Amino acid sequence: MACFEGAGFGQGTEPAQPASPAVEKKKAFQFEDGDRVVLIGSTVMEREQRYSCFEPRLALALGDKVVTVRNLAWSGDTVFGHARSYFGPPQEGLDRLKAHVELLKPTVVVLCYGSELAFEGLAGLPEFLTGYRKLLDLFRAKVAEVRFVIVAPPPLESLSPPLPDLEKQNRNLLSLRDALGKFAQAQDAVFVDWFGAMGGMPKPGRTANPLTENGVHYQAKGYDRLAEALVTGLGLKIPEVGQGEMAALKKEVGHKDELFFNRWRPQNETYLFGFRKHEQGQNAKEIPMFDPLIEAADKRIQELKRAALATASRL
Amino acid sequence: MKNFGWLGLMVVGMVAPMNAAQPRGLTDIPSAEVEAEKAAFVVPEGFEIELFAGEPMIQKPVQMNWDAQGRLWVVSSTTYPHIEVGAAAADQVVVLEDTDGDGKADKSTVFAEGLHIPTGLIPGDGGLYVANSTELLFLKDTNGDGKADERTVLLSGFGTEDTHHLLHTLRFGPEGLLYFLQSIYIHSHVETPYGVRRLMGGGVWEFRPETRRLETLSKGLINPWGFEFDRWGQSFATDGAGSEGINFIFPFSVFATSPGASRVLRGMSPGQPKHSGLEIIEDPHFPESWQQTLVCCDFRGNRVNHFQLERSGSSYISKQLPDVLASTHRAFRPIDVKTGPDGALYIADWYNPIIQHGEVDFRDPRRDHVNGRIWRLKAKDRPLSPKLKIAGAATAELLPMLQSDRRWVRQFARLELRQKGADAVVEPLGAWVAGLDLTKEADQHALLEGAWVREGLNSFSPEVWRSIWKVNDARVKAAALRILSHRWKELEDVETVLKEGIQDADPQVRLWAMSVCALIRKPSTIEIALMALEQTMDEPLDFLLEQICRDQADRWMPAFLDGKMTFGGSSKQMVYALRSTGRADAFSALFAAMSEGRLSAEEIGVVLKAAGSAMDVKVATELAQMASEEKDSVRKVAMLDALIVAAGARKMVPEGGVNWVADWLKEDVPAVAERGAQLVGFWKAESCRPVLEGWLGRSNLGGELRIASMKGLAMLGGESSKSLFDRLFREQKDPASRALMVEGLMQMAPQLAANRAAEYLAEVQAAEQVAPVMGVLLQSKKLPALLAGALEGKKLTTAVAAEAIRMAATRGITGPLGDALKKAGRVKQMDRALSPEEMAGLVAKVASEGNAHRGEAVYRRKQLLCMTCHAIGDAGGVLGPNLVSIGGSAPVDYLIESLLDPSKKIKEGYHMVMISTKSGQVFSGGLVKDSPSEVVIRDPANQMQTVLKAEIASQQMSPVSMMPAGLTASLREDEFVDLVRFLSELGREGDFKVSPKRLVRTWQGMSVMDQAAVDHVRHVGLHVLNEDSYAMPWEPWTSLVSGELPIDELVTAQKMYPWFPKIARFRLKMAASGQVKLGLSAVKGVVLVVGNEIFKEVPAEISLSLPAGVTAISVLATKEASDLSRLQVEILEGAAEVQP
Repeated sequence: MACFEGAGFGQGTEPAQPASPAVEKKKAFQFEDGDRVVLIGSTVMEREQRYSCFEPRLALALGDKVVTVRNLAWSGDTVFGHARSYFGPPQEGLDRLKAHVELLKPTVVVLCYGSELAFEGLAGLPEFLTGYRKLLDLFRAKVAEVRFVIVAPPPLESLSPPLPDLEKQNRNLLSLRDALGKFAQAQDAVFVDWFGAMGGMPKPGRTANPLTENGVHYQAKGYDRLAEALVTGLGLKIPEVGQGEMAALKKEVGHKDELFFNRWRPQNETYLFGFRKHEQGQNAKEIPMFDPLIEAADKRIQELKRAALATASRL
Repeated sequence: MKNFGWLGLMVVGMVAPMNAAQPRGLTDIPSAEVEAEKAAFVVPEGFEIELFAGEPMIQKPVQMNWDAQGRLWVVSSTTYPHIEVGAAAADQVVVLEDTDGDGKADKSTVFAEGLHIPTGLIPGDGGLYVANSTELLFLKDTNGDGKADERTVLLSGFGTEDTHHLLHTLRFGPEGLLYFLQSIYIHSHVETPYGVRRLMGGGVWEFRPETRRLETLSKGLINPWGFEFDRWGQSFATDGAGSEGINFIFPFSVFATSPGASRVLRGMSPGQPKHSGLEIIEDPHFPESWQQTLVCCDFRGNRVNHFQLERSGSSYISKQLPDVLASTHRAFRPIDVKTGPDGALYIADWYNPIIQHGEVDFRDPRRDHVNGRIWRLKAKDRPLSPKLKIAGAATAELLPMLQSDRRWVRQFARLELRQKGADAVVEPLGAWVAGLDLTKEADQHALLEGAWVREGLNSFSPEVWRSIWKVNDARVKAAALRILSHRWKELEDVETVLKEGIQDADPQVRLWAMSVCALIRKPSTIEIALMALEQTMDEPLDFLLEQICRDQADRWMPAFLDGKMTFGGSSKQMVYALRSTGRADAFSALFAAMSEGRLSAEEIGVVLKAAGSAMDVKVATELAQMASEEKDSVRKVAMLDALIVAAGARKMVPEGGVNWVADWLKEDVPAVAERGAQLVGFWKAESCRPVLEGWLGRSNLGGELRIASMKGLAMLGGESSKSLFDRLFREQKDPASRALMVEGLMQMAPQLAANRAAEYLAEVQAAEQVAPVMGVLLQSKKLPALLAGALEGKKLTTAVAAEAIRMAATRGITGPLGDALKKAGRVKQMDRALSPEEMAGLVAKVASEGNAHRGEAVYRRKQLLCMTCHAIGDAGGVLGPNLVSIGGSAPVDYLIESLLDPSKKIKEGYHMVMISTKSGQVFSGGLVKDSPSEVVIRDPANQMQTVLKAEIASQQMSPVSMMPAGLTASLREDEFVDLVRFLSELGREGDFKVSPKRLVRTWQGMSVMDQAAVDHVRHVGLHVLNEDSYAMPWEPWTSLVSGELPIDELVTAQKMYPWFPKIARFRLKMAASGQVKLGLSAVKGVVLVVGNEIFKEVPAEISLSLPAGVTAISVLATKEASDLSRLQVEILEGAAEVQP
């Protein structure tokens, strides 16, 4: 294990941070033409669609290869499906997820789960890992050849008072990162260490140049770095493109994500598909009508990508 | 956008024709002209109304809030109820300004757009908070061009399962915290810097922007909508789909429909219309009598209601005042109401001829997506309040504003000071506070305002806090404790303070002290909270104390078991705490105290009542041992009851119990023997079988003992039980006995039970004979299908079949059994859907020929069962939705459809839940409580049924309405038309709007008394009418919608010399003893019996001194009043509530 010089650590007694073993063994992730990529997890993944940082970079890095990306992340979600359930227990959330997996048939799933353990402590780690394994099995049951990318939640920031000091919580995330690295290896999944890539265990005290809004949730600049870390963490190289081209690409990705959000997580679920569907379920016929619009947006993303790459290669 | 919307609609329309069940025709759309809507207002004397703003300045307003500059911020959604396929999120925030002060907005600015059904907003902290579906946003205009250019997601993860329940009603509390609400179908999962916060169902969130801490303040309500703070910092909510009026909101309060709630609180006025936006009036522009009154919008009834609150115990009672505003225009939908910077009242009118999208198609063409208005109501002859400069004012100018008699001014002065920050404000604030004269009430309030300003600055000071705690005014003390609910970590001697608070003379101070104890979650604070038991408890106090003891049991029980908690030596407190936990080890400790003689008789009763659902085998064995030694038979029965509960659903069978039960069967006390018989079954005491067989065979024996024997034998089971039940079914001919035998067979030989039941139904002639056997049979999951088969080839009388169908349908059982009964009884029901032409014809007939007064008489017919399940206002049944404003919200075709096919559309909160238990029983009805350990449902007979969670095999929402189809099948068409007309008038301006007066509407009417009952009254005195010790033939009865009691509906005068009266009775409940003044519309020949006091000469207004608790009041319309057909009784003064 590579030891990491605790740059800036105030106290000599601070434990150094071993990088996760999986990081060292990492090799480039093989994307195939036509891969259907799904992002899933809690808020940090969900809000990717507010900033559209990942998919443009991935598309550019893959060059001629065409993949689609769908974001199924949900604020406050856990490996047990807490945020996905409505009127029933978390299991209902996993059942809902099954239907979405059925719909999307993803070949690559990028997961970032476990941020809640920062606050809840590590006592529940064994259950968490068991739940994580079952979650992977849920995908495997629908798509036999599915490949996984397991991402460690990024560190939290201690912003100025009266916002809280999150050092203790970061220690939990550090341990979680290590556990996830081993877990990924055992599950034959690729591991990406967002915790390390975003600075690792912060030094004690308040964060100097925060990337988060409240210590927990990253904002635009943070998402740029998270996206870069994820794409390069998969062993890919992101080509440089013009700012205008990048902005156009981001905008189209955002548009597609909005259409898809209204497709997979529509409002009024209670009436469309829930226990009051006998009243207004007839309106559910509109929901699949989003599909052709989403596919058209996918095509435009590819066109914009090709145009951006062409412009860049001419420079 | 507008054109696009219509285009999208046309496309949908072409792809699939509109569902035939949807309302059709655009004929009953009122004119959308502003003048038409204005002309339809009914404005109270002395007031006038003008348009402040309308389309195109704004469209479809949802919430509005002012800023310190006197600008009105309005969030609006044309997208509601559901985004069109491919449409961009295009909803807006608009800022309205009246720059020339003429009372009309003359400038509107679109501050933000691209929102997706945003349902709440509030300006503050230099920007704007907006609830935007899944997210709470903070928008900022950084370059001063009046448009937001910076968007921050503050919180995300709010549910969107229903777009009229989304996150909404943003409100700053006096402490500078931000509040927002969500409703029944919403499930939220929000990550914060303090961990994930989850809220299932309705509730009130509390958020401190500067720390980003988010917590739940209160849970439940169906559609909590209005939310406001009064002058003293107490908070209140209205419910846009519940019907209990104003709700008092305090930490940990839980209301109906909150998932997993063990117990819920009630609103202050059951039977109210549903309310949206809420405002509390405090501005000298309004007359003195309006100050501190609550105004809230009844968007269904096209009116704005008015309430006055009066302190009662730890909470309030509310009195309805005459409406603030009403309209005959069906598209007037008041949804928010706010006092303006000029003191006038501004009312946001969402404007729509139809509401809802649960019951009306998302794409119904009558849905208005274009209009929306803000109306301004002002007093004619009173000066408007001056618009003060608050934004940008200096601290020294702002501080005196905290003493203003205008809520608006104080609120914005506080927010403005908050924005200046602690460094700039704390010092001058301290100096200003020092100059207050705390002997004056106004200055005591100003001191509280000062403390609130500090909270807004997030700069708590123990010294300042102590100064408000010292004020000798319960309102200030309660507010101080509310502050402490956020600051207890910062007050060193908090427990000393809480001990003072919990012993305060004022119950609301005690409630707040208890709330703070609940937050601290320590064994020591549990002990402090329990000290409240030393004074009078009321519902909120008891609710909260029980919750603390139960939910925090894991935190304090270990300390108790270690002997570290003494409850100050009070056995009362110990019993309360332990029994609230529902834990077996708690009851073991209680039994020990019981056998050591440390508990009073009353306390023992409490313990035993709760023991059954908590004991494990070990503790049940302890109790059985105690029961075997118990000499007092009342106590012994209570012990055996507990053992029955434990053995029943939870299978806790004591070790060695068989040895004791044989002795109990021999006891002379029937109640003990009867419990023993049941325990024989539960404990499988086979040796006792002959005793039970003997009892069951004696049809002359008391019913209870035979029921117990049947149960015992059914549980013992075996061929001998089966053949005994079958033999006795044939030998014993009375319906009750036969029902008993069918019940006995049901578990062990369902087919045989079904065959016997079918034979029985074929044999009996009258509808009344159906209930015993059918009632038993419908409790089983399997039996209905088996009975359907057994009915093959049988002939039933039509009356018997119809009654059986009705009973089955009310329990959600349709399908084969319904069909088999119809066939066997040759029953025809008019429950088919109408063709579009028939529907249109009927709708037209309702308008042209329907008579609502005749319709009300139809509605009141007993056999139609309308009143059994539905209330209009506060009178009537509670199984179905309250119909108080149904006419204001439901189109006529919807009403017709709902009568003919009740399952087509079911109101939220009224879905029938069907539960099958592991032992094969079925329970169906409305969900009352769904706690982690048990589910309580209200069955069709209005009985509460408790099912333990552990026993549930399946639980589902039934797609079938609790309202049986075909209830109106017996009506002629003209009667049906009258009934629909009556329903369609309910809540609209006119004769069928429930008056805000406090009229007595819930009554009991005396049916024919037999000679013995008459003699009893004559010998003992009229006051026995008010006592329930002698069972009189009372029947539930309600007033007409007008509030008048139709005396002429009562049975002929009773043969009671010398009165020969018709008799009715109502009951009043008082939280504390006090004066009540009643007004009677007629007094000639009327005799009043109040408790045991008799008034033979009744004045039109009569003052009564009533004790705390419930007092029955009987009204006798004597011979002298024989021409009296209508009587109205009004509560003119006093804190009395009519008891159902």
